Amino acid sequence: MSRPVDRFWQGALGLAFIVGLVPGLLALWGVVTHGVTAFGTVQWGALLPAILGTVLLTLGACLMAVPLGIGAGLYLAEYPHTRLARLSRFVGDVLGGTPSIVFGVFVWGWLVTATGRFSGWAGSVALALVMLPLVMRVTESGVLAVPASLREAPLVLGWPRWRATLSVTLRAGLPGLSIALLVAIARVAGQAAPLLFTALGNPYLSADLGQPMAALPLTVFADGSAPGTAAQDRAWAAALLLVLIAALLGIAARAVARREEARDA
Amino acid sequence: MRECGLVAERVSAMFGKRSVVRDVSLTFQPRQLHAVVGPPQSGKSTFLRTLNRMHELTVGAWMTGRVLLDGRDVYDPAIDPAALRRRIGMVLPQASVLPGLDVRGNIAAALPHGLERSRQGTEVERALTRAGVWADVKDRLATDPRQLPEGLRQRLCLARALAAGPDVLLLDEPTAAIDPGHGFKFEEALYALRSELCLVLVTHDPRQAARIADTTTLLWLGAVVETAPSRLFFTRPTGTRTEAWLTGRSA
Repeated sequence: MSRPVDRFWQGALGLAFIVGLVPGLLALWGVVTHGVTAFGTVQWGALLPAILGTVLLTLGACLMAVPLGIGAGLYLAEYPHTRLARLSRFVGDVLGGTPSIVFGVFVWGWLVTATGRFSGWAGSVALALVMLPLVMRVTESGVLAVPASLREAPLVLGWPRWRATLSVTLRAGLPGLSIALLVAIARVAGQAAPLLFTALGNPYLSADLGQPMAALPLTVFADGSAPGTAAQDRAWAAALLLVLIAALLGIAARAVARREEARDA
Repeated sequence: MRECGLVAERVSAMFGKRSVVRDVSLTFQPRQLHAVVGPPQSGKSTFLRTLNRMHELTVGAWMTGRVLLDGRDVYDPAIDPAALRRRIGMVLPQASVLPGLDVRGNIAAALPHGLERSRQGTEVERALTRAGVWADVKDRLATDPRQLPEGLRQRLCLARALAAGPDVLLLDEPTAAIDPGHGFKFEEALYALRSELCLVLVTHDPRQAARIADTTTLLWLGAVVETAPSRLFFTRPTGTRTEAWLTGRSA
């Protein structure tokens, strides 16, 4: 390619990148400036239930989605052409493209109405359903990225396939998988829609997942549209906290990636 | 030590409808190194992988014919493929060390399950010695093997395969990706192992086969062209195709 054309393409791609980045940066700037101001005025006691709720709901979702998603992803990678794998991949694609509010409605109809109460568990199940296809696909791609020779190394030693998969293939794919999991956790921690009909929200501090539970995204949703500066400050502070959680998880993911790069160097 | 020979009877191997190995019948004698040579894409590695049932792990792969170990078909449904692969060991083309394990751990991972801990150190040293690599790593047993040169890692893979205690050892282009120095030491170890095991070496390098193999077979487009003791194969080949390949007149 000639130099002027090369420069034109480089410039065009750079411009597309900047145009794409600007709205995101402006949104981030708005959240940070409003959030920092709100941090000074907000009553932290009122935010504490949402902080605890987000941690517990996300943890509950991880407990359900991570083992199931990793198991399903391993199956897809190890037995890719079985009928069950093809069906699972299709279902995973459909679930991955389903709006998260649908999971909330589904869990409401299936769990909340059956138990007769909104609860943290119902919220965790809804978040787990959002998380499951993500974990499944990142596990599959993480395992497939492991070189075939490494996947076969334990098999030629006479290891049973399950042991080879868990001890070698999964372990070799773990760095990439950890990064993807941290990103998936950040994504579900910020979900409000699946929690509207499930965890519902709770103004009181509660660690009981059997009861309705507050969460930062619910605080952003409810207080952001409420009148009064105190509620609005809570919403901005909650939004900034969600950004900080995502940033911290992102930093952790990069740290894992750097550590692996250094080890392989 | 048991003397185990391996017999392939009319083995054909396919990927879906594509036939890669055609009607190959070969006998691999105990305490001999049998080299299977041929140009790239001649079906050498695929044939080798039918011998320890690694071929069947590839999606769409299947085979016909029989492979007999001690007179028993290894494809008998009653035979556990994992247990079979402990008796028919294999060294892969790439030096693949098991992640999260040091040099000692990588060798110990192949030892029979349930071996007393007190015997593990001795067995690890024995395997490394048999592979001719003990002197190179005895002071680095706690090292991450990923920090070692590729050639040394491949020699560790040979030691690891020996630690499993196989009767037959399959070697799939084991020196193709390593430097000549380590490749030569690898060959030396194989030459010494001839007195203990049945060795089947797949290589595209006729010189390697000429140096260390007792018997050599030329595979061409998945079929056997010629099998002969190496001294005859390389000096007085009977087939014109063998002669053409050995002299580089046939790609």
